[in-house]
Amino acid sequence: MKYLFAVGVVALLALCACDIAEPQMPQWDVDLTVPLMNERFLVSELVDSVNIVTGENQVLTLVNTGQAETPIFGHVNFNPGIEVDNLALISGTDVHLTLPLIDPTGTVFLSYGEFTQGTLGYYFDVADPANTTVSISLPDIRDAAGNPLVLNDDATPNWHSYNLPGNRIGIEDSGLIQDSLRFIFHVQTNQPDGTPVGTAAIRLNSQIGFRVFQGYLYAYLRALEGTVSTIEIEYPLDLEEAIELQEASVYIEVTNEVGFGAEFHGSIRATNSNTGEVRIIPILDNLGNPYQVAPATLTGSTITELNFANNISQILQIMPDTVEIFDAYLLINGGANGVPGFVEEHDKLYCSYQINAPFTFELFDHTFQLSEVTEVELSQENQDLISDNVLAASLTNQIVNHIPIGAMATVYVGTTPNIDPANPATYALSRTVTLHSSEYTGPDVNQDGEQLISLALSETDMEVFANPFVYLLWTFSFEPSNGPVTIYASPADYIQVKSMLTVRMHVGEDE
Amino acid sequence: MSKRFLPLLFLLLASALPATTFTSKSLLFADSYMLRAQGADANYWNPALLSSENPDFWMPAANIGFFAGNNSLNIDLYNFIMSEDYLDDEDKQRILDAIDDKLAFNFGGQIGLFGFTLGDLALSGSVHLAARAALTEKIVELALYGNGDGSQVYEFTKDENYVDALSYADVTLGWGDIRLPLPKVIPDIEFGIAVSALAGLGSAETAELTGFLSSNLDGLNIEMDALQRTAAGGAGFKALLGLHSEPLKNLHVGITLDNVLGFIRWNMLREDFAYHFAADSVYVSDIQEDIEDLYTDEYTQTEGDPFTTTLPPELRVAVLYHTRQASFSADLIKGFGEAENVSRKLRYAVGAELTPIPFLPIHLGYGSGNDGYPWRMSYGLGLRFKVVELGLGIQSIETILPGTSSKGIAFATYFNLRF
Repeated sequence: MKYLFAVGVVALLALCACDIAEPQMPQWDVDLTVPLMNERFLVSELVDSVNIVTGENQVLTLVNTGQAETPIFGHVNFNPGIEVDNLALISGTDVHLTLPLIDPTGTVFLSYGEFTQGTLGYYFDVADPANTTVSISLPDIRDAAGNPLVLNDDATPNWHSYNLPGNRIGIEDSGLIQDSLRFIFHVQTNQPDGTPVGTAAIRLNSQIGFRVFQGYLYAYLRALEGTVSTIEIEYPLDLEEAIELQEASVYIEVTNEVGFGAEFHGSIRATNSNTGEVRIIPILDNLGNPYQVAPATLTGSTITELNFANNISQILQIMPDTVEIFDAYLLINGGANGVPGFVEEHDKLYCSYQINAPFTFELFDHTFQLSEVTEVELSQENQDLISDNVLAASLTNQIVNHIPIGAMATVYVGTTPNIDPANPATYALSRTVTLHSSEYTGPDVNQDGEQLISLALSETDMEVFANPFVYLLWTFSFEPSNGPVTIYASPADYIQVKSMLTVRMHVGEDE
Repeated sequence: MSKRFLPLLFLLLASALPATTFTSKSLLFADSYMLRAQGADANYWNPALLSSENPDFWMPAANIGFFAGNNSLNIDLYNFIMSEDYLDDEDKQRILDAIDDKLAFNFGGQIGLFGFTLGDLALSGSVHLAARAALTEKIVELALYGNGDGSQVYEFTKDENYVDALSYADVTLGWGDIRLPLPKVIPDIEFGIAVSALAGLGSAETAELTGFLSSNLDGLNIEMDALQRTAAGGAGFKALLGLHSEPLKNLHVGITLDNVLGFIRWNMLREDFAYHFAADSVYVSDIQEDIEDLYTDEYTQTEGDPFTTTLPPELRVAVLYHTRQASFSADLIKGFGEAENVSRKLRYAVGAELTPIPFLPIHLGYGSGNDGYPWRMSYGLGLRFKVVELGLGIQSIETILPGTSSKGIAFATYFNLRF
């Protein structure tokens, strides 16, 4: 072993003269590229089935809805104008009298009705009230139990009134028009038959109203008023300055509880409150006629669907922020498909309407900016990391845009929130990126449809991130479309974004 | 700056020298030793030289040689790196230029356990260790430059990334000085043969390694498959055939073929370590998910099948000329396969022994390099008496003299008795 030791010592001594530096980690810079994201943003993901839906041919469609309804139908009224005086009463003889029951305006033709308004006036003037009784039977008017109305003389020579509410007139569901009213005067007296005993009078010359009505109504107008809701459209930023919708339709669904057919009359009023521009278009079918609303049936209400597309695009071209049905009413003209219609006082017409605006629009070059700056707080640790180690950074995006919308985005970065893009003194740096639309053909997009978008920050630029707060303000503008474009929501319509971050970093121990 | 203990550093760096056949004394001639081996040494170099005229006895455990080095790094480079506060691109390139495709380490050793001659026979035993490891230059490039703009895909193969080791002991019986029956007009040619029974002590081999790494718009993509095969306890065989002649006075020529039928069969303890890692298109935005879902890794340890380590044949041709005060030799070496101790790449070695003072031989050697085998210089000093011969020497890798520019170092001692 001593021999081996001696050999080892000699050998090591031969090398121990070498100078070896103290271990000291130098510093250097490296470029690190880290993949950040690979996301496919499908247009169809915008579909929420409420405000944005997939329409025909998978076109992305903006949907806004509103409701309207008539007030309750209320009572059908008219004044029949019946008035008969000095009707001779003869002992032992029933006097039969039939009077026309007609609305002198020609609006109401009654088949059956339940009175809710109306007063029947009658008058008896007999010579011997003590020994004379007079009654009036009205076989066309019955009480709730179906008994004909009978009015008895109380022997007082005055006008008497009988309130009709609670009684019915006509035969329910008979389809027959009750255009007359029968009166039967029955006289009982101690006088020999044939002896005149007095006179009588009848009046039904004020409004009679029906809670339940069957019959025909002509030129009968019911306004859609009361609860008409408007469609409020909130455009992000001032987007309406940058796009112009080209197509739209209104789908109106009328739920009719009233057993009368009706014509739907009205207009759509669109308002752009920013510009003050207002456009109104009538709601008419392709032939220029009002839409017809089907009557309810005995089994219940009916739903009528109205698709209205004429000229809607005209009102959307002003990019309205309010759309409403305006000056709308229903006009009843007849019964229900040739037979008497029916209605009860609480019946209504409900109207829900929906504006479908396919994403077919034209884009204009208009810059709009976010209304608020974004505040980014940087911890001291991150500030130090950035200032000490990050020398430069570059964000590279590879984007495949299958949507015919291109845009340019500019971000302004500053150390105060008071960033004014027009004043370079208010921000430290700005960067602009351009995303071309799928319609673009040019050198910025390769044959696979990929476009590379880079955002590079130099070491000087990075200094702004050594502050505790950094503020970002974004502005956007669309690439003009030079004509209408349509946004589809098929699986082939998406924006694929791949991005990576390349950072030049300083490594090694700090001194 | 301070003085440091160099061997420790070198051992840490390991070495990059593809090992080759060596015995302790051969290191002092940079392996230009085929015609210089006498006595028990001839069992490993050219058994034709075994002769009753050269009796020999190894002093047990006194014939030792080991080397450690690498193909890239040296003290100068280390000092340079440590002296720089900041590494610019030029400095980085200097580091990368020093690396030839891979940062390869290699070390090995041989210990003569016993050896002696009996007439034309020799019996010897020794323990051999050869190990090598490599790491691709791309890793260093990544550390220095980063992955740049992400456009590069870093591929990793077994050729540039491996850990191999082989250790075995031999008991070798040689028989030499067998004269071939040739016409008298032809100079005498002696033939010798040495057969070795091999006992495999341990083996480690990177059997498979493939992988790649990229980080760009397509995400972070990593795939790595590695299979490390290990074994302990094996048995094998090899033979060394040699011819020697002295066609002219003082001029010797020889040819050997080593590792004939050489193999070690590993039958006892075997373990395969397999590792698989894959991450496919991972992005930072994915990290918010369960991170373990972003990659797959699998580590398995199984009992391996018996396998055979083949010792590739190695051909050596040498010439030696000696005078009264000096001898000069040249060896040409060509392996027929790649292994821990054999290289397919052609190289040569020249050696000299100067004996202006007969009992104080000076050994010199130069071994050429190739892609995987740096050139080296050897220096040795011995004491030679009638019955005792001993000495020591060193070898410097890729420098003329050992120093801060060396990429490795080798030491050797020898101690033989002649009787």
